[in-house]
Amino acid sequence: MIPTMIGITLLLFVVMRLAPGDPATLAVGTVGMGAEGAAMQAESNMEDAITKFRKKYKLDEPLLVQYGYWIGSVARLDFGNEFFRPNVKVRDELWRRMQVTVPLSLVSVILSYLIALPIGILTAVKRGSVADKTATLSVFLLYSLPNFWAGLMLILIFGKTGLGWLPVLGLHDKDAASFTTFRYVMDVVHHAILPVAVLTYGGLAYLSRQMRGGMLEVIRQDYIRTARAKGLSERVVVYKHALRNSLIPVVTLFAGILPILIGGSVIVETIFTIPGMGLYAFEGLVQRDYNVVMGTVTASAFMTLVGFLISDVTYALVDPRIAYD
Amino acid sequence: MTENREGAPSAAVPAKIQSRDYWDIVLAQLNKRRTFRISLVALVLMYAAAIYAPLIANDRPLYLKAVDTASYRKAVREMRLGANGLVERIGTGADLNLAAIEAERSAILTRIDSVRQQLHPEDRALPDELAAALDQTIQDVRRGNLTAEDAERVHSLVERIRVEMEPAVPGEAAVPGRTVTLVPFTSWPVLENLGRLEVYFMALWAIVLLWPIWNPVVNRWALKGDRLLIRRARRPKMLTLVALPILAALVWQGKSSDFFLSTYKTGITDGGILAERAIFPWVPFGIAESSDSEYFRPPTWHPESEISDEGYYVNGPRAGRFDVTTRLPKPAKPVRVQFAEVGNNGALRHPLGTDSLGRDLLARIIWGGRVSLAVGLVSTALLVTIGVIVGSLAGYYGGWVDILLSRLIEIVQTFPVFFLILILVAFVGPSIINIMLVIGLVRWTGVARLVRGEFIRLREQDFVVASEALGVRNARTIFRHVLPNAMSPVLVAATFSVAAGILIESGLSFLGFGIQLPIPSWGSLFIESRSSEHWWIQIFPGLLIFLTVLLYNLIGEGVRDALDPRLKGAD
Repeated sequence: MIPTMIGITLLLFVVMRLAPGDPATLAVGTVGMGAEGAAMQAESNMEDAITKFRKKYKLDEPLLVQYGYWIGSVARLDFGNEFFRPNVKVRDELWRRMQVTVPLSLVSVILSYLIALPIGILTAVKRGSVADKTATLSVFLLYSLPNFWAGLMLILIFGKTGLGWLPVLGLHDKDAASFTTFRYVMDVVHHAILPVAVLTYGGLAYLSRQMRGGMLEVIRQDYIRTARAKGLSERVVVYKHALRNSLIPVVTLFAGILPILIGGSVIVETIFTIPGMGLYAFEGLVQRDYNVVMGTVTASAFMTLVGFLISDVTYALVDPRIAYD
Repeated sequence: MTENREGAPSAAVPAKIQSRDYWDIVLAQLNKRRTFRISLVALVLMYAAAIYAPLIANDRPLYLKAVDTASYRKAVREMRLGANGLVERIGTGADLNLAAIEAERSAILTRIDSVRQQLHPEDRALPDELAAALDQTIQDVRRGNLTAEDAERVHSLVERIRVEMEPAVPGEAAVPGRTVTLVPFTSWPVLENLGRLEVYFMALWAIVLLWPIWNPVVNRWALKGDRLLIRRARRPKMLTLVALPILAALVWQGKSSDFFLSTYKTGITDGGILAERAIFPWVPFGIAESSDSEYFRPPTWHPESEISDEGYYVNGPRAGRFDVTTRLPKPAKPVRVQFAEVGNNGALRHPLGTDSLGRDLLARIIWGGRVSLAVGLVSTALLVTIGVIVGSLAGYYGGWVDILLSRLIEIVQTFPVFFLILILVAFVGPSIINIMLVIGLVRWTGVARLVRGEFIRLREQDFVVASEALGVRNARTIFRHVLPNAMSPVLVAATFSVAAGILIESGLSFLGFGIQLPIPSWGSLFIESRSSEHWWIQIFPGLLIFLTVLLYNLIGEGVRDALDPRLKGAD
């Protein structure tokens, strides 16, 4: 896991530093962007300012040395400050943003499992029935639905110009600070319905397809035939013998959904203007703020790795045949 | 899975026995699936719309037979100025650079040609004489005996052209020695502007579209319905499919140009071009043709889209002569209905509405398919190539090669894909090529893992061991023997990844990191407006992305069921 992490960060670092668009020139050239920018503006000699800026952020060292400095500070969980708001630490901002994104992602992962598993199981058990056909078709449609379009359509339908049922901006009302706790929670839930729906449906479709496939695969196995031959009731056969074994691969898909969710959060948070990690990364990209981009990507890669780890552990937990040394 | 592809062993078998090889089975399986067939046809038609976009949506006429007084005058003026200028410069002796003189002469000759194009043969004497006089002058320059006579001759011809060759008023007889009657000329403005690449794809798609006609004919008559022959003819057929369009493109003589704006429609509407006959494409709007009075106009079949003759909306939130926010009177801006367009409030004028500059959304969607559909295909081709190479190296050699490559796969895979692509595109700069490259470079890991797995499975099988024992080179063993047997899952993954590529590109464009204007992609059409008021801009492009992705996924399902019987029914 640690070599992978180093490989990832190294790759990212090289890509970012080799990319055109120099942060020094950008920071010096930007008027009125924080104290540092202004101070550098004051110096009549731009070249001088750029050199100083380079020195300050160690941009004049060789790439590998820069990487060494950077990874050293990342190990101390220090991603530096934002370029354009020099008194804001990327770490603190990232932490604030994660408190928005991580709960949203977790909720949608849990929701997609809660909805997808029953759909997958039922469609597999009642294979060929009308219910199966409708469910499979709608899941297939959901699977092909672009998430940004789904978001826009939900806003069209439920937002002000449509039915006007749900708010479409941010995660709480302007005057949320004055709300009682209960009302505050209700407000957040109200705001979160649409974003969570958009985040959820993709994973849901994917999971229920996998669940159905896994179930069908297992139902064909010999031991299921044996179970039926023993005269066990269909309930026991399905829920005790088949389900447990077909759950194994689906549980581990958790790790596969996480990167999809993190990628999706960029789009969803941009559409609904939710101040989470995805929007932070987007803003960082637009402003070419290396520290912000590096911080968000490292964090999301780390989260994905943790996801892989969790899924490996659960794999071992649910399947006693698998043991890790 | 392990059958030989090109029926080598069955060659010895008498042709009467209708054996079926791998592709026979696959094609028969695919043919059985109705959803697969329907999706395939739908997708082929979508690609046809994208490929033939210049013929379907364009502000140039497909065919034009017209008298173009304006361009005649322009050509005459430029011809005169050019000839005078050239002679004067030679006369001063200041600039006797022969190459420059030649270039200038050929520029004048093109003007002379376009003037002649609209003249009756009897009226062509003067321009012809001018061309001859220029020839004479330049020859004299070459020989070094330039005389005042040369310049004099050109000058007097130019003067005569100015006086005698005014275009006659349309419908009236020409006054000899003063005016000439212009003759209608025919042209094919759309075709003349097609580039070689476009011709290649159009020819290719013509063959593909006509496949249901020519294939049965060839099979029945040329190959006499013999399975073995049909099977053997598969590769030549594919080669022809590729080679014929290349031939067409090489023979093609048109000049490539952008299709952004033309003046044909305005010319015909204003009377500058007197069209005897003009055939416009089905959607007579260009991708960059804007209209000030129709910005953000809802689809014209919608009641809110009705505009009065003065140019005010009649229904809906934008109705009235006063601006809602500023309370100032809105200036009257009547809709300008040009030649070949549907009338102002006709339901089919802008069936999908217009964008912020009043550009027709339908035309932009038809053209936008070119980018979106191409990105999916090209990025998939790239990722399959990378994935197959990496996967087969890792799977075939094993050992430290495998460890190294597997670690690489793991690293690339750990990134949230969309995120990584977003960053890369943001930093290398958005262009069609960059986006294809980035998607391909990031998303190859899935294919690589599949191929690696297949190789590990196949490596120990007898036919591979035999090939090694026979001393066949590694590269040959990999590409000739193992790879064809490992391709089924790759083909399935490729189909799905075309859909994913289209989704990713549209997501990028949606965020503003994608294809930049003026050629739109379906995703970048959204940038025009994210406001819910402009619902048509959000619904229609998205619907097409959705449809395309859906079709690709359906096809992927079909291919998987047909190629990979192990996974049958497991969707």
